[in-house]
Amino acid sequence: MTEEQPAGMTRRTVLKAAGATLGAGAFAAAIAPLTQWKPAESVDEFLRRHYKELTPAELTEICRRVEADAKKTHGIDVHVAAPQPTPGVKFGYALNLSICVGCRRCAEACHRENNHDRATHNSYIRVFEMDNGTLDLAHGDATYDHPVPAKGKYYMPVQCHHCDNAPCTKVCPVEATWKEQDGIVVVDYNWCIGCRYCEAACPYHARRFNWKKPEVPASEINPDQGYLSNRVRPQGVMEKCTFCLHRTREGRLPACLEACPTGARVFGDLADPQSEIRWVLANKRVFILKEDLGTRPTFFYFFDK
Amino acid sequence: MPNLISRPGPIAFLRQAIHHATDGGPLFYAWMTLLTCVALVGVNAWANQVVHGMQVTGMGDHVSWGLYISNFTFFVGVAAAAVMMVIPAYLYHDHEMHDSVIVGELLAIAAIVVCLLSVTVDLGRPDRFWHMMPPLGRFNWPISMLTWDVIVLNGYLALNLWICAYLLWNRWRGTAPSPRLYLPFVFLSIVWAVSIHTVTAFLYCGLGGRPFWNTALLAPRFLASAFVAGPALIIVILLALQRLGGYPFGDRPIALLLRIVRITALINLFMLGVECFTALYAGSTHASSLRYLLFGAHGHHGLVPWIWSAIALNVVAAALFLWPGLLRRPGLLAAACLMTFVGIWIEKGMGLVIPGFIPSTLHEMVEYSPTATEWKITLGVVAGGALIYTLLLKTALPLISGWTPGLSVGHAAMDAQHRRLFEQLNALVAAVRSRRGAAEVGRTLDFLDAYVREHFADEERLMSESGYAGLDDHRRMHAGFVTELAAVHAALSAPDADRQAIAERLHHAMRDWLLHHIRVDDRAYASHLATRG
Ligand code: SF4
Ligand code: SF4
Repeated sequence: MTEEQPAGMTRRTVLKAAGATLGAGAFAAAIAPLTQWKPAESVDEFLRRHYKELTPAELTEICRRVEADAKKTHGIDVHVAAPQPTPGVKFGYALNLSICVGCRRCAEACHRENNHDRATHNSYIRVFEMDNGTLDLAHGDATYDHPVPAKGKYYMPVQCHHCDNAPCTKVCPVEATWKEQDGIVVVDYNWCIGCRYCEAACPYHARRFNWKKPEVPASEINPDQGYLSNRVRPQGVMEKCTFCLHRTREGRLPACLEACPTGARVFGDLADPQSEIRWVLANKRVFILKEDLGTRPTFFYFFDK
Repeated sequence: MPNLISRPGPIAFLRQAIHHATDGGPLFYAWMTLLTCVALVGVNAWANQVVHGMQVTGMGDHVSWGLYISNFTFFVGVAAAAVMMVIPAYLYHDHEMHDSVIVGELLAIAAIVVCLLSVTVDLGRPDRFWHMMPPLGRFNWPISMLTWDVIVLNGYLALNLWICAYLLWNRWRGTAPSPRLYLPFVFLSIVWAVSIHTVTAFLYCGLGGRPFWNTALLAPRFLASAFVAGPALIIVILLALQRLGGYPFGDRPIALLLRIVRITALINLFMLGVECFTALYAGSTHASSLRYLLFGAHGHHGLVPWIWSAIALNVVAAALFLWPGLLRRPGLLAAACLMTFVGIWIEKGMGLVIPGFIPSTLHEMVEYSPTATEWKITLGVVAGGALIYTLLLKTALPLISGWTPGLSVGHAAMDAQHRRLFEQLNALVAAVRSRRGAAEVGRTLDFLDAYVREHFADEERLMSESGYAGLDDHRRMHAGFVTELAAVHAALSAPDADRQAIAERLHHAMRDWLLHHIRVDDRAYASHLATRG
């Protein structure tokens, strides 16, 4: 560059350097809020491998870590377990629409059992008030606020259907959500990247995203926790109904079923011919939602009369 | 004879690239400062979103994707449409398009960056990004369409980076690019461009639970709209470059792109019509999203003004494209292109993504509108892309049109004169093309004429002093150029001069002559000078 005078060159270079420094400084200022960010994860947790690659010992260690975390952040003792599916067991759920009264106690029980965010009153169950004579959800209303049951209405609670051909698990780019051997579709809250593709894919509005850090007062936290189920979730990840696997895998019933005052809910082992749910499937008028989509839910609805 | 002129290396290339990229007039610095500020506001908004969670957006469990993913979808189309320049240039060996291809390919690079950033800012846990990267993470391939999108987008980025870098590097060094090293990639990138938009459509239409997206027409529609928005944007860019100077191409690329959007704009409108008819005539509940979008439903009308503005913009632009006089009215052409660009941004961003969630899968009506944070982040992402694009263009354009060290003949004074020659020739092309007054064009031409003679005389003196054997041949070549220049002069003075044709002639015949002459003939005498020491 023969024509440029050295002096002009230097002045320009100095100006450019000043501009670059200013830009870098402004950039640092712009990302400064990130310093307040506490993902509440140790380095070990951050570098952890996928759930399915963990040895039982590593899994236990991780559960202890979650417990220690609860102690640190909430000052309470919780018990975090990672119960595994029992070979040969396949869970299913059936709901009797003839007797459900729409009291939403199941949704409320879910809210407490699963340590949902209190402010948003989150729950995995949405109860729709439906017009008698139609199954079309377009005429349903989940925001009703009046004494139930109302005349001319029936009620349809909807939660995760634990589909056998689940669209949500297919679309996940990182296998953060999958179907376990006993049929339960789970999310690993520490693997999910929060892309919400699964939420778009689910045809039953069964998934919930943590748009903020869920907050539960320490005194209200349910200390009986499962690693893949109701432990307090981090911000920015997906969650969903887990058939209360921390209960059901240990022989207890889901919280929503226990809370139901009418006995509309039937939970059990689809693989066991003697189970109540098998009796319902064999003897009642049973249907599944959006059968045409081929999702093959393991959550069934039925009518008595 | 061994070539004694050493070829400059990659470090020098990078240094010059940085020099070109960061050097400019006040307008350039103002533009860069503006983009930097907008980008930084976006970065800041994003940092806050990471800290406080996605609650700062207007999204929720009902409408769980919003502005970010809308913008992503749109810019995948822009990236894909870069091939609109590549196809004629390489498939049909249209040499005039070759240079301008770089404008499109660089745009593809910047657009892909916008796409990747748009997806990143949509993640709830960007810190876990690596979970997607095999072998560390778990890549749910081939079953998850999102993993396909990751592959095709990054592949497309790599392809275009390679092609641009390789061609520019060769141009800078003054070497001929080896077709084996770039042509296969060019053809691959054409197929690949179609794939990125098809896969992005599959992200949506593969979801059986969302009838609004679950249509086989989605991928063709995506492509059609991309081939409107992409070329429209490139036309605007070319027009802007023409205004700002530094535009080394003829009018051909713009005319060609206009021919393309003329057709694709109509195809796009046609497909929208087909979609509407199919859904609305049958009147099934599957049409509820579309009905919400077009007319509102159950007292919710959030998207109605948006979509009708989009349709109006696209219809008016399509009509303007059909008007034959448009090419001669650059201002109106730019306006039409911008109209359809915005129209398609709405139609296929907000107009496609949002209604998929309204009504929800359980038929609840929950509306969405983006928050200030989302707008800031989105504008920041686009500004970031524009920043990158500006820098890329600033680096590439001088390499295409001007003197580069690769043309060095190893003689400082002659190099400086060659450099001036290119500048003068480009100035003349610009003057002729800009329809400036005959007096001004005449001045530029006279100046060039005088400079050429002076330079040729200097060169010939150098040759004769050193006893160069090829002097007579060389003289003849110089005389040929001077005659050609005189012919251009005469043509320009004719009352009915076709100035566009003359500009093309100057641009291609004369500049290409100069390039070849310096590369081959001047190097020969330079080698001779060098051996004599
Ligand atoms: S109901 Fe939704 S979340 Fe549950 S398994 Fe099926 S698709 Fe997945
Ligand atoms: S939100 Fe999480 S679980 Fe859902 S698809 Fe994305 S990474 Fe997978």
